[in-house]
Amino acid sequence: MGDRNRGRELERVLATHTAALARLAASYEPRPALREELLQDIAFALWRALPSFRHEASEKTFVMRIATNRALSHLAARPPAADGLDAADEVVDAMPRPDEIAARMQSAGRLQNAVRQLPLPLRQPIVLAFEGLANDEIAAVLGLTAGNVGVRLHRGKALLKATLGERP
Amino acid sequence: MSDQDIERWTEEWRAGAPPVADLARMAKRERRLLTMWIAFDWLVGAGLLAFAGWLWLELRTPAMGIAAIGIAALTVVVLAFTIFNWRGVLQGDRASAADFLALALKRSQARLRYIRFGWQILAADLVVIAGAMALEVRDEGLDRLPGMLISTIVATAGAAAILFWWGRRERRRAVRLTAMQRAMQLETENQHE
Repeated sequence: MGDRNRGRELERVLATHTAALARLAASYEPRPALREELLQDIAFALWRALPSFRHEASEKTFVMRIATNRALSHLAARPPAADGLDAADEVVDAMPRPDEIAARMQSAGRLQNAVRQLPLPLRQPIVLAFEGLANDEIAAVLGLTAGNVGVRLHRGKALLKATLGERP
Repeated sequence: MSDQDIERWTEEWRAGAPPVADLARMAKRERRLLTMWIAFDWLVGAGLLAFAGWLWLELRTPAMGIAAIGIAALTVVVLAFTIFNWRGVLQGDRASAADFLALALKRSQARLRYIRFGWQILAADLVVIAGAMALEVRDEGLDRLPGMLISTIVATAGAAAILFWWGRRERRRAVRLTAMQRAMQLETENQHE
């Protein structure tokens, strides 16, 4: 793929998936300036990866896989401060109580905030499901089995519901 | 809990896209920046090698010969790392998240090894410079010693500061990557229990 063709292809891919990428980035990075940095990183990674896209998976799966990996890399380099997900240890060992999280929520963007409070292993499949990926596509993005994805989605939904203060 | 929840949330989720700048333009800017960085690295490397060559060919004293070898060796080591680092920056992006985390951790550990190697190179360089200074004092007297000492201290302090800062950053990254990987594995193990 020539440089110009690749540039055009990138523009098309980004035009199609910009909103999804913005939402995914927001679920990992609440700080606007760093979110923009993450998006720039994702856009560049897509430019690099486009020539290797063989249409074995859907374009959306390909884009989400690259964006998810870039977001993980971003989290490792720039951990969000004062975020319930600051350390993955906390995610595992001291998951915040739903009522504690709920108290921190604001009415605007409450779903986005709630998703951001989910432990990383549950947040990833939830975000990808919200972006319209099927369980087997989510499994391919995350390197899990479809069964694993199903369980994580179930647990993620339950925690999200509790966090949002909705009845189970 | 039903999939109606997912449908309802999906609708709410998609309505809440934050505003985004022109991503294609951002990618171009990133490419330009990266190209400039790589060109800058190579320019500095070429400049240092040319300077080492000049020391070797023009000044022709044992002290300057040793200094030239030291500079050239250090430059080659740094350029080799530059290639390794840039080539691997986006490696593994097409892998699954689990494979990507494993790869990122491996690369982080490789960078930490490289930083340790950097400390060793710095120590070796100090030994070489001390030898060059001893030769300089023996052959030319003490006249240039203060200048050589000051430049050595400044260069060593600069290199040590960079290695220290970079090492700390990389260790933190490795800790976070390990924690993320552990969180993913624990979640999977919990599902099997």
